[in-house]
Amino acid sequence: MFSRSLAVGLLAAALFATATAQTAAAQRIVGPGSLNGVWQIAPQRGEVPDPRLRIPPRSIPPLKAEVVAAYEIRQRALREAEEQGRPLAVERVDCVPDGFPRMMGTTLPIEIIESPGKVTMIVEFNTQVRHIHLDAKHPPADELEFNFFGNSVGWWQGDTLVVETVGIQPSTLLFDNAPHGERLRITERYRLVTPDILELELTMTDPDTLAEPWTVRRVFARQKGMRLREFVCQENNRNYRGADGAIATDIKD
Amino acid sequence: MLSKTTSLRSAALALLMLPAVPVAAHHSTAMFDKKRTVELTGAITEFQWTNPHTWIEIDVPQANGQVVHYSIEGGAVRTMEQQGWKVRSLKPGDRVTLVVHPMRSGGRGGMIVRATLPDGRVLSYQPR
Repeated sequence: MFSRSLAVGLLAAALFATATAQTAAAQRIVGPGSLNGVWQIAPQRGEVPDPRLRIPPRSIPPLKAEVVAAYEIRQRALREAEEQGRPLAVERVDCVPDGFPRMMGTTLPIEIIESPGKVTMIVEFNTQVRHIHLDAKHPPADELEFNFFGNSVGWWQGDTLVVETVGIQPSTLLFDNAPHGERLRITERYRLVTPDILELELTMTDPDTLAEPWTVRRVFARQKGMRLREFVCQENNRNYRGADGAIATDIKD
Repeated sequence: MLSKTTSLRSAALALLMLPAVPVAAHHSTAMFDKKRTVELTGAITEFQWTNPHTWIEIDVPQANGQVVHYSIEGGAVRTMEQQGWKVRSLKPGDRVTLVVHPMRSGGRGGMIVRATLPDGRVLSYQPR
């Protein structure tokens, strides 16, 4: 009799524990904790897009009149070199990291790790890492440093992780090779549309190069079971900048 | 008529499916002639399973008895893995046939399109 009550009690406790765990799991479907995992931009080339993906249309950098001419000359030079089969060596060829925000356009995976007070994003391509401090402040203007990935602070707004980044060095480029200055400010909004589809809306504002805020959208698909790989660009980079500025390749004899 | 409209609409949709911003790899592949393919049959001397690119080194015997060496570029390790390649898919001494896009410069290099392994299996590669 005693043992039966004990068994019933244990069963009840187990059921309660399971129910509690399920509630906790359900709570993690959106909001803090929901972004943990490995993600890859979708659809990958050659893949049939998931019908649930709302693939964003292509957007064009809304550059200010004073930077458009130089930008178009550079874009034309890149395009003509491509057409002639002598592509120009850009920074990536020298293994220089993309920096933020271009790193978020990678076709290789990105791991998001949420920990207390922090969200870490590891971009596999060239092992680029973002440290996003939650409920924190940017340093004062006279202490702000300029670097590849900028200074990022974030906060949860309901089911959306909002990240604001400043301090991105102007040697890096925006998407589509668009230039930026030191006053660049980027706001990102990460939101799950299903447990396995993550939408990013990224808005760039820069009084030096952009005539108006420039918003691009990205969609990432969760990669269950995928482990991030190391990616050391200098491991075996057999491409280099030729004397004519085009990409040269180390071919063995 | 209907089918024409439908296919136009599909084409428009396909254009919309382009990513918001082009996402390139370590470098452009414009140095390879993607309108041409060349077949290379020979012996693997080395398979470099490395980033930012994998490389296949192959000795190709010619009709005149000479052996010509080629360096064939593949994608990053992750991209190759996602298309079925593994670290020891090719081993030194393996006799294989490679289909490659040759270098437009005429150099003895190219970009891998597919490899037929000694056991007859075929591995392919498409840049992403």
